[in-house]
Amino acid sequence: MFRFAEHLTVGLAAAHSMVRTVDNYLRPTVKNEVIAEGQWYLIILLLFGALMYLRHAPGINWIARYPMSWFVGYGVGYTLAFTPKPFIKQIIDTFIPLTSVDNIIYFVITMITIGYFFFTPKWRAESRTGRTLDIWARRVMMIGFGATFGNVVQGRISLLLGRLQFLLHDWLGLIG
Amino acid sequence: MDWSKFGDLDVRWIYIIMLVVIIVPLFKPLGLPMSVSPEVKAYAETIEALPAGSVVWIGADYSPGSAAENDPQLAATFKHAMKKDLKVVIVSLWDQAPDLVQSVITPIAESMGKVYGVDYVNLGYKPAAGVALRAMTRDIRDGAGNVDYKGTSLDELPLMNEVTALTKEQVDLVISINTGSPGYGDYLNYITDPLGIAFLSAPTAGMITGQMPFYRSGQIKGMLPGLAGAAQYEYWMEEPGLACIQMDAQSLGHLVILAFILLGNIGYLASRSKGGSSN
Repeated sequence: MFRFAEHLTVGLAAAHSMVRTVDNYLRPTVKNEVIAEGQWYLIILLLFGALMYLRHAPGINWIARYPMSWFVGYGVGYTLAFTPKPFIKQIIDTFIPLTSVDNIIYFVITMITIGYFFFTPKWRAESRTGRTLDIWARRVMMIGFGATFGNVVQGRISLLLGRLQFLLHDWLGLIG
Repeated sequence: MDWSKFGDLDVRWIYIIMLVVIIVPLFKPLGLPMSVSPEVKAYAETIEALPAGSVVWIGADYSPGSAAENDPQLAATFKHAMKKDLKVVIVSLWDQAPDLVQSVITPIAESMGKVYGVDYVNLGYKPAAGVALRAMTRDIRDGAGNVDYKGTSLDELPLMNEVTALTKEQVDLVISINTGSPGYGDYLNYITDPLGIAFLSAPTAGMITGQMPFYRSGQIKGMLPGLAGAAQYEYWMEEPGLACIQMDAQSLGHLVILAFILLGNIGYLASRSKGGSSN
């Protein structure tokens, strides 16, 4: 029964996504841009994308790798073109004046955590200082993960509340 | 008293107690005191500072799985924007979001006499995330297939004739109501940081720690963290709604969790001092 519900949900979600994509984007784009505006070259891209389905065709499934590699390359290019700016801003934000306890803690935690992921220096594993820094790096990371976990628990209760609200208010009408 | 028993407590007791503690405040809200956190205050004040007629772009990127958190965030944000006579354009990078969005904003808009197409527009689901958003920086019609969520041509919607591109000149504020990817990352990387548009984020609770560094650096001007954020926002607006009611239950639920963590640890220590082991 669970398997049936699971497969049904996945199937419905995939179908919903497909219908939405066709209805809300592909069809109007073909109608407005290809037919009305005469941008016929878009058909070539559509056909190129459709080649991805050849992965199900025995013998010629290698052709599907071409649109896939184009997509991956395009995605990587896009990411490399835009993400450095926000990323660098994050790095710059780490350079803060050490004028308050908060800032000092922030700086120290950042340094020892980044240091933890430099695996090459031998002295770290061999010296007591290096091992102590590693222990503290693990501790502060655990605090970070703990904060995330605490928030996730909070989120799960919110989701339970949402379901209870649906059952008790929307469905049964027991609460106002 | 044998404290070590708490270490072996049947988990079903925890579920039953948790359920009871959460359900009771839903029937009878307790009105527990609440304070507004700095990030929620910044979120609310950024919207409050916009003059009437300003354009707010809301990215509603979630699904029914997180609607319990994201719906109240969207409702409070939309209500505030409508109260301030702002113009709102909503787009979703998640295919299941547009219907949720409509069910949240329509009653609010109707109760305030706002007109679809003039005061607000729901562009619906647009695939390809960051690529679609970048296309909209040149021409929204290109990135949106020139239709809204129900297939109406954007040419027929007066607001979309005023807002033709997702640029700093035409959009005063971008808000992301998000629960994962695509979502706030796409706006941050492709829109708000490169174009210099002010950006607010309303994440689910599980995403708060990941976004906090961006709030700290100023890349996100304000945040509504989870359901608690939505409740604080309602409190700030002096219009307590669904989020405030649910926060009573949420707070009591947290107290129960803390109590059981404490009891579990006491049980563990007690069993250890007795020389036994505990689960």
